[in-house]
Amino acid sequence: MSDRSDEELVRQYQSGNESAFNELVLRYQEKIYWVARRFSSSHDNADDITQEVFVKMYESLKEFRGDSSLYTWLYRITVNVSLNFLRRQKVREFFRIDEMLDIEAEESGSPDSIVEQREQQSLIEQAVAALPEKQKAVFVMRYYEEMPYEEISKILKTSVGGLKANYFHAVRKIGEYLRRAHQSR
Amino acid sequence: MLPDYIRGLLDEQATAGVEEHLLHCPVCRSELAEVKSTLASIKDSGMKDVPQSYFTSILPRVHRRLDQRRNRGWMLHPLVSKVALPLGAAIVASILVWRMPVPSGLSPGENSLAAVVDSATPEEIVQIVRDDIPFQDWSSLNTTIIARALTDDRFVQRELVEEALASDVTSPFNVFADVSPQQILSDFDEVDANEVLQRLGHKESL
Repeated sequence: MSDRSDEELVRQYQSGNESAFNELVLRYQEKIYWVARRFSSSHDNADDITQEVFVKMYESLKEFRGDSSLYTWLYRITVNVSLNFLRRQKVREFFRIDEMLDIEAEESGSPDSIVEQREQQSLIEQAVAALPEKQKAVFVMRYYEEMPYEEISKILKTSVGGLKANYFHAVRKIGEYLRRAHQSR
Repeated sequence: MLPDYIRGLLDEQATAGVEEHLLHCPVCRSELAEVKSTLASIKDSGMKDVPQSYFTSILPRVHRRLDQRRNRGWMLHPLVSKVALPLGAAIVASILVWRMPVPSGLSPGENSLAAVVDSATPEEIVQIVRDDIPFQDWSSLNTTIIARALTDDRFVQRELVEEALASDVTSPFNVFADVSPQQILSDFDEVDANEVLQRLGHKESL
């Protein structure tokens, strides 16, 4: 990958150089995937969201004016695509559509410690998935991305005070979920 | 503020304020211990189970998706994709939901179908039907009727044919129309049919 700046790559794409788009995808794909993964709790869903984010980037990058950093702009797209995905998923669940199996569910025969870690990881993903939509969004952005509340506030259009309360409630709910799960084992 | 305090994300003044408060508040001290334990569990869980090689597959698939969108041509015109198509799907779904006789013996969950369909946007319904039909056993009467109506939509139908031919999944057609994908394909005009076949790369299906 070259060391050209985001701004330079965006300018090149806007002047018709499509390979600049490829470079931006390669630069941000991993970050975007993990944001999507934290929202959607499964590899297949995160994969779908990631592709959709870059399709939207391709379609909208010509209008990008650099009012924020490219990553912040991409991040906003990812949050919006993820939230839309979650809403669609709710309807899907009603239609009794089974989710495709997670890739990690197919693994077996791992050493005990890895199995335990996977179980714990899976529990946390379930706990995050069980959060109400807004708390989940705030938790992902604040915990995993350490995004400033002011920035989250712009994306979710909620007051900073409300976001802090959402974040705290999210952490508490995750804790309660984990405790209940451990007790029932 | 406790989660941010534990993770060292507060500025000096806020940190001092929290610490001062904790000195005098046993409730918050207990809360602090719980939140600390929760955050430690999350931190230890890792969540890095995707092989690095996966990331080499994203770019080609993004391009494939872009190509698919371009191939839809006029269907992607905003007037069609954002207005006509969703509106058509909404009208069909609404008529079906409101005129559909509810068979006796349905569970309360099934009876609330109308509310769920109403709360979903037409785009969402189309997307759901388009994305998931090949994987489903659509045995429920309600969902079958709605899905069947939505697949009257040409765009959705074309997608279904393509998916069915590509993956050899024929079950949706047994449920929907008692016809094979090949039969539906034969109803397409030449341009549509050629496009689908070209994308699939195997004419022997016919």
